Amino acid sequence: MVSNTNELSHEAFLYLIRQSGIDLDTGHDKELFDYVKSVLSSLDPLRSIDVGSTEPPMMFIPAQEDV
Amino acid sequence: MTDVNLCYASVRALSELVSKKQVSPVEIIEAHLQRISETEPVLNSFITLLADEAQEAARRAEAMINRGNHLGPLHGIPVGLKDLFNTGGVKTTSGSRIFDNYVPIEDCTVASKFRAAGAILIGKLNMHQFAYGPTGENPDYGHMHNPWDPEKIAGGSSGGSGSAAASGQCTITMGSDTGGSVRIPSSFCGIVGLKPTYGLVSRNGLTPLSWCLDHPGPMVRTVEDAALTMNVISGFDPKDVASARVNIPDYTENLNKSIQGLRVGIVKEFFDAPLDAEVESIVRKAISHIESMGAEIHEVSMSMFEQSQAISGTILMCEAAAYHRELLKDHAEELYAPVRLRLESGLLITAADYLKAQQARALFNTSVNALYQTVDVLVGPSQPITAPTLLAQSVEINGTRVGTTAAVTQYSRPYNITGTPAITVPCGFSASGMPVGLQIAGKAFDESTVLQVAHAYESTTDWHLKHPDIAS
Repeated sequence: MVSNTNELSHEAFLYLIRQSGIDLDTGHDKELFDYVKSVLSSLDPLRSIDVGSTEPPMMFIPAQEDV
Repeated sequence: MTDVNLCYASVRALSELVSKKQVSPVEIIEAHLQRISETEPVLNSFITLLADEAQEAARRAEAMINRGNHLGPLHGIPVGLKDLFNTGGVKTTSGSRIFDNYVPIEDCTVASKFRAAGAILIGKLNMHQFAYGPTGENPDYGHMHNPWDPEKIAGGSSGGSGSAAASGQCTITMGSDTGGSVRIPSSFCGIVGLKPTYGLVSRNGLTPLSWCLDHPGPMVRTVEDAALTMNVISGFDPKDVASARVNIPDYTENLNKSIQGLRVGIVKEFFDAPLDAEVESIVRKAISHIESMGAEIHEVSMSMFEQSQAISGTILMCEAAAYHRELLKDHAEELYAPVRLRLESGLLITAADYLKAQQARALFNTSVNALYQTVDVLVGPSQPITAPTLLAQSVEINGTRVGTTAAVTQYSRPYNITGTPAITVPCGFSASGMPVGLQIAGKAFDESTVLQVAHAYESTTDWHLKHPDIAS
């Protein structure tokens, strides 16, 4: 839903904010919506990276006693 | 009694005076408390000053030393900790009034190591709220000010640490660096700041900003002081899941070795990015100086440099939002507005984007690690500009407006992604009298080489000997 900045409608934004458990007052709502749009557009360089099948460096290693 | 200015003496110099009983820790602490009382109205480096506790600790240190029990180079030396390092019995606010009454029961690992080495905690230092910003703004405890020009930022997030070390309020300060928060204020305040390898210095007992990007590190006035501090604070800690089991060398051992033949990489992309012409000129002179000492200079390419802001920013925003989620629910109105916006927006980045950033991080690290097959260190500017004016949302670089946060983090973030060591050392001053820093980065756990190059530069220049004239 928020994978592309241009697709983020105000309604979708409000829905996601509620799902996140954030209470918005009217003034802050507009400020946050504008800020979120700028943040999401700043992720464009990330989306353009071809990561192929690279695994994220978050390898889970079970503790010895769990093996 | 001594003619040495105790507030600007190095750890080594103070230690020699103390061990020979020419100066007492009590005198050192008194001198620093006096300096703090003179400069603090301008700088606002401290959230909590521990004057009585420090004086008492100094008397105990003096008694120990008089009994012939000198614990080592840090015994009796005043240390300030960024106020996100937990200190047992001393409030730790993380830069927010929300935690104004939070008094940890235990010391963080770093604080307990300093204590065991005989260092004296003189206070808890001001910081950008929750370490979430590079400019040293804090509405709850007041903004931090640059000792070289109080109208300018000290930098962040460890701004109080930067101003305290630069102004002679503390001999050693500690910061934490997630996107540059040790190196940014160190560069802007004209001191030495080392972000060690991830896992080398324990994060146990520090308020996280981003679990996988946070690096605690020393902010001091000389490279040797950084090395001496690393000798005390480094090492495996079972209380930190990311702590590395590696042998800890004596970080002072290689400081005086020649850099003849050492291969120094200059990242081409750093000079293609927005970079103030005056800062570039100063940094290029510093690189020429290193070359004149016998190092080989090689131009190299950090091919994913342009993506580093997005990679680092995505990981940081998601992890900060996850950590502070409950705070957002209960205390949103009490947060500094820009910090609140950053935290809230982090909740809306998808898990897929977070994981893509981690995938990209793996690629980024592979490409940067490959550079170390042809060079030993990477050298370049610490900052594209000198310290900007307080609360400036954007800065002008060679006629182009750039967002302040993006500008001041552009050269630091790559090494938070790689988790590898990077130091900033003073390398000159602008015409307006503001410090400029040179960044030297190296391979994982190769702090010794990074410190060696930094010391070779420092010991043949005198930038680190210049101190700000602070009008009280």
